Amino acid sequence: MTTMDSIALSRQMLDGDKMIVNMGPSHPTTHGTLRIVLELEGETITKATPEMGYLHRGVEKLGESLSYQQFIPLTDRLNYCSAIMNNVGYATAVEKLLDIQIPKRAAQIRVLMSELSRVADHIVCVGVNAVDIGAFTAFLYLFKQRETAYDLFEMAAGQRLHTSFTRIGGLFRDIPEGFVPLCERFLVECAEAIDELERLLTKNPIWHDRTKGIGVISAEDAVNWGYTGPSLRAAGVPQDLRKAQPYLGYETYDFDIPVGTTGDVFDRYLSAWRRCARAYASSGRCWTAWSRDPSWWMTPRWPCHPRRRSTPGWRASSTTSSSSCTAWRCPWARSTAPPKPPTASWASTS
Amino acid sequence: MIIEHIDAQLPGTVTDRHAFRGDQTIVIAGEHLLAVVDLLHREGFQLLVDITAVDWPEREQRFDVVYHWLNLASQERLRVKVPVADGGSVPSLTGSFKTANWFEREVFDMFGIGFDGHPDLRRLLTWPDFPGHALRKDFPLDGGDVFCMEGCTAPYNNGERGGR
Amino acid sequence: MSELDINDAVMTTRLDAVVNWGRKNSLWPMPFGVACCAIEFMSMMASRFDLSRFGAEAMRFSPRQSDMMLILGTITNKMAPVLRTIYAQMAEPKWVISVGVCASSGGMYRTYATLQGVDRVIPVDVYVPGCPPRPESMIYGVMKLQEKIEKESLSMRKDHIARFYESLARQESLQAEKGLTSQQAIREMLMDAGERGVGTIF
Repeated sequence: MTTMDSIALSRQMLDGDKMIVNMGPSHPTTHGTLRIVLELEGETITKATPEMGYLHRGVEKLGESLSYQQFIPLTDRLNYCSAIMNNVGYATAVEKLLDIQIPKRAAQIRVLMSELSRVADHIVCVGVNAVDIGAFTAFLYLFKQRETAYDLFEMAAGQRLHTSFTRIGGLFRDIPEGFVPLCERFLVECAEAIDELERLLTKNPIWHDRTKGIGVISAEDAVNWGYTGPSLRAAGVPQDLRKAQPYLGYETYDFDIPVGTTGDVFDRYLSAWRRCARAYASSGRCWTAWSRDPSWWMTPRWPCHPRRRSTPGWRASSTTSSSSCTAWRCPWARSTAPPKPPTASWASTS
Repeated sequence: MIIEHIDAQLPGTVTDRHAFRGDQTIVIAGEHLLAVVDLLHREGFQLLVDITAVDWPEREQRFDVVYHWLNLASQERLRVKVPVADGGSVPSLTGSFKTANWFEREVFDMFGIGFDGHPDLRRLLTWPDFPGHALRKDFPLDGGDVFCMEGCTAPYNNGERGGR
Repeated sequence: MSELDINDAVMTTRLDAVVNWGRKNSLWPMPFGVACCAIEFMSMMASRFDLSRFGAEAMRFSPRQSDMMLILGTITNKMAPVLRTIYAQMAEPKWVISVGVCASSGGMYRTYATLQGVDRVIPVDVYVPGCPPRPESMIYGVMKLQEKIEKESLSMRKDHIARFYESLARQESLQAEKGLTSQQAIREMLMDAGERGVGTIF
């Protein structure tokens, strides 16, 4: 049954007060590509049918024909507001599989960059949430901080947004000279910005009217629906992966996690924003920790990236050697010779 | 710990098990899935983290539907694999886990595996009449898209209309 | 006096110049924000880079109220008909800037799901490469569009827009006669264009 069929069915049950509105994939507040078909009764949404897939780019399929190292830039683009964290997550997973221990300095720098990108991500999250509700000022003030964070990323990784900073076994390179003073300055200015936003929004009656009691979800429902992250904590479940199953040395850092009660939009805003504040604080602690610890930023035992077998049963090509970086290609990956035009089978709809 | 529990309560359901780098995995048959899931739910594995699948084309039961669970109380994780053949199906978990709804739709879209009892099993990531199932190993990366191939030119070339 | 003669070429040019000057300095962007380039677009609209210096502060997410569409992010095959509908809903004069490599050529996603360049389905005026392009690059793209608008004549540039509307009509008739979804119809039109050796469907 397609979406339109389900709409037609509910149309049969409509009386004169209900309205069906398509909040289409191009919409200012969907921030991307979510389509929701809404049934409205006045200003209350009685039913919402989401439809997604408008940004399905085939990343997993691409990954089948790339090596572990080549996949890192693709991970950047998964959550583009905090690209470094995706790099870190992916690299950590591959290192777990290959049983590579990364040097302590690399782990600390990864934590620092992750926390900085977490701050940047929550700036987008809360800033854009504020814009959607009508508070444009918050967005402008916060993006000034995000620009400083971008400067830090650019200094470290060479790119503002899609950093591709990690490598399997460590990092792209060590933190450069000017990073530390700028980071210090960022931590001071960002603290002021975080407080400013709390003063602007947290006790604001307009903000309360627009967010309190909206989109409430209980803890059991949140777990049943598979929530993770700030939304799960806003619903009252104190689950934070950094505390529950620490990685990259998070057990050595001292921080607490904000937990909400009702799971409404206000709690989710608070959960995200307080987490931003904690992230800023832990990035500060992390910075003081690693700045005193000189060591490698890259595992010395893996100077080249390891190759990956795409599927079992496929043999390597004879030209690869232990120091080459080519991936073992599957027959469905792009070949070097231009292939013939497609046959009709893929053009048919059956 | 949970695997011993499953062995005790539902003997014979676990056909294979392995632990690798701290992750524990069990392989069970499709007909036992609902019983095992019921047990897991009672034991506290209430967060269904993901459902996905892997295609092993040389095998007779070519797909492995993979489920990941997290026990929030004990922070224990479990991976469950269910082998299924091409054209086969597994029971749907939408009864006990609402999050399974879209996960199963994604697996159906990408692999073509059916889920019995799913309220609305249709494609999620691609459009309704998309030809084929994308993550199968015999589906080409470009999906037959003419312009994905090497050697094709851009439509505009310095203001002049280009072509092949 | 000779300046009042409407057939006088000097009069037409001056009218063009004035109208184009007005148009280029008040481009109201419609951000078709889809992915990462939209975040850099947000940076561009924020205080450090500030696109409003160019008269483009009035971001209108409605195609009916804007004249410049910025395509920010990867357009997938599922999104292509939506993009065409939105473009069709814009009133003329309208321009399109394809921001980022994903919109310009499919970017790093040479896959079954990604449209290999937005210019295959709608006419594009300026391409801004980058992944994502820096806000300065995007501003440069807007400036290039301004240069292009300066040189436009009031009657000349409607050809590709007319062809676009024809292709939209063809798409709808293909959908009606074969019972396809819009995505599959566009897919078929793209395959057909590929076979004929043409890069676009309009």
